[in-house]
Amino acid sequence: MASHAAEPNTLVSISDVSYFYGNNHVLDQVSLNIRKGDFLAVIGPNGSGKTTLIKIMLGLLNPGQGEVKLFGKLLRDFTDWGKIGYVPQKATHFDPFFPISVKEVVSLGLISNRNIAFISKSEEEQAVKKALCRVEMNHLIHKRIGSLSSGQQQRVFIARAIVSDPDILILDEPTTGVDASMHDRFFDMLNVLHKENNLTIVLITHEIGIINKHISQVACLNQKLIYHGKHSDFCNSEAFKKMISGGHHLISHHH
Amino acid sequence: MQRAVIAGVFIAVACAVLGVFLILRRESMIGHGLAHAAFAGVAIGLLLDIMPLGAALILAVLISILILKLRDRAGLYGDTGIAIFSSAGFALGIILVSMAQGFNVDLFSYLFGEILAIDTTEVWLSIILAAAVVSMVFFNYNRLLYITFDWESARASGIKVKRLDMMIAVLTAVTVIMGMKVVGIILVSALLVIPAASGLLVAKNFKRAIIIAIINALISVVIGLTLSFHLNIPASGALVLMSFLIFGIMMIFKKYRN
Ligand SMILES: Nc1ncnc2c1ncn2[C@@H]1O[C@H](COP(=O)(O)OP(=O)(O)O)[C@@H](O)[C@H]1O
Ligand SMILES: [Mg+2]
Repeated sequence: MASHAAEPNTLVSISDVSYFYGNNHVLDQVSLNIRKGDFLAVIGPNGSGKTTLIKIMLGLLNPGQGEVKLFGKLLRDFTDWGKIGYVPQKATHFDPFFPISVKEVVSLGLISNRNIAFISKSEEEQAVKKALCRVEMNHLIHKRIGSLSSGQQQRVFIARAIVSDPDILILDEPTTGVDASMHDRFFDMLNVLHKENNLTIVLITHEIGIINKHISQVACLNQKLIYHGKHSDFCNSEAFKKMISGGHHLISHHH
Repeated sequence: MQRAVIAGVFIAVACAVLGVFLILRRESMIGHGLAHAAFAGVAIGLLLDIMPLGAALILAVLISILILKLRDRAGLYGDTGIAIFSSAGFALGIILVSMAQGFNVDLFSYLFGEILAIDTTEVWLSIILAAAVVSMVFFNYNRLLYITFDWESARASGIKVKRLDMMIAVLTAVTVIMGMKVVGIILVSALLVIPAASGLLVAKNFKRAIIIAIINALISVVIGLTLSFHLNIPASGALVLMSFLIFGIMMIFKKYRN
């Protein structure tokens, strides 16, 4: 573990993390390193602990056991939250009548930076517009967020996550509300962010069909980390065969 | 009359600004609940012959924090905690008041407000408190908006959400007690909810929601108190009905705009 964490390109290092909800053993000694430049898909059936793992990684839950380092720092010493963009699984589950514009939503993403350096109104406006352009939502800047489709909202939340120019973007089930016909465009957009902005992307999903040509790494989770490696190798792995065979409990969809 | 308008304006604006956050946090009944619970504080004040609003303020702050903690720790829904403490506090208040001096005029002023009888010290006190509430909200505006809209993401971006929750709890208690001075225990939640609700009804963005809430508060205090003075009707009733009337107009406006 120590040798991995010492690697300068490791942005996130999760070591031996276990987690219980009461008696429910959700994560069992999971270790996972995320390196700069990865386009990582974390896959696993519903209830396999993907969201829990991400929440532990972000300090939203305290692991019973194990440790997390972000950018080489232990979680409790890490303060540079602007380096991490996060779109939670339930991002689009807000009150649809909440009077907040697309612009206001995206500016929220700049708050973590505010503490470090003061950003002027015009700088803020520019950053917001730039982020919205990247997700092709600039034309909706003055709309109320609740009046958008869930696919559009998802993009706005991505804009909020990238407005602080993070090094890593974490998306929890981002395609849930997005039309299947739009998945390719959605991935193309992510790929542009990945390539042009040198953004490390972690995409969490329970749909194996989502796995896309742009993805470089796959981590397969079901309480334990079953597989972590290159996307190309994953397709020939035991874990993959079990997943698509359908007989294995890995793709059971009950909680 | 002038004193009443000045104090009323400051207090109502503080209520309106805070109210927008409270409604969106699904805590629109907190004002109602805290005011009723704080009735026990008023009663203690009357019983011990100390400043009733001071005692009410201390009690309201404590209960507000308790409700917050109970929701976090015991998994009690915010609403339930409010309902339990408001009735328990009010029940205690009834018993204490009967021990103190029975139900007299003094008590009525706490139930129904006494803004027209406000003295100069109280005017200054309400200006200072209201200014403190409003500036705390504006100083933390972005962070408060973030935790209100998306608590989890706010936490994930390093915002000290617990601290802000606590701040809102304390500010709400302070605001409710000031509101009691204006419209009394029974109507205080109107000051928190109605102007804010009219802002939320028609605004497309958050800033505008707050501005509309403030405008509603300003108009209802000025016109409400003026009507009350000239027509010799209760100030609290006039003020709250005025606010309600503006809310109604907003609703019609919204219907025809679409
Ligand atoms: N707040 C919670 N309280 C209790 N159990 C939970 C909670 N959140 C999730 N769980 C349980 O933890 C397990 C993993 O959940 P989660 O991490 O959300 O899975 P995934 O994101 O892979 O669908 C599930 O069995 C779920 O029921
Ligand atoms: Mg999940």
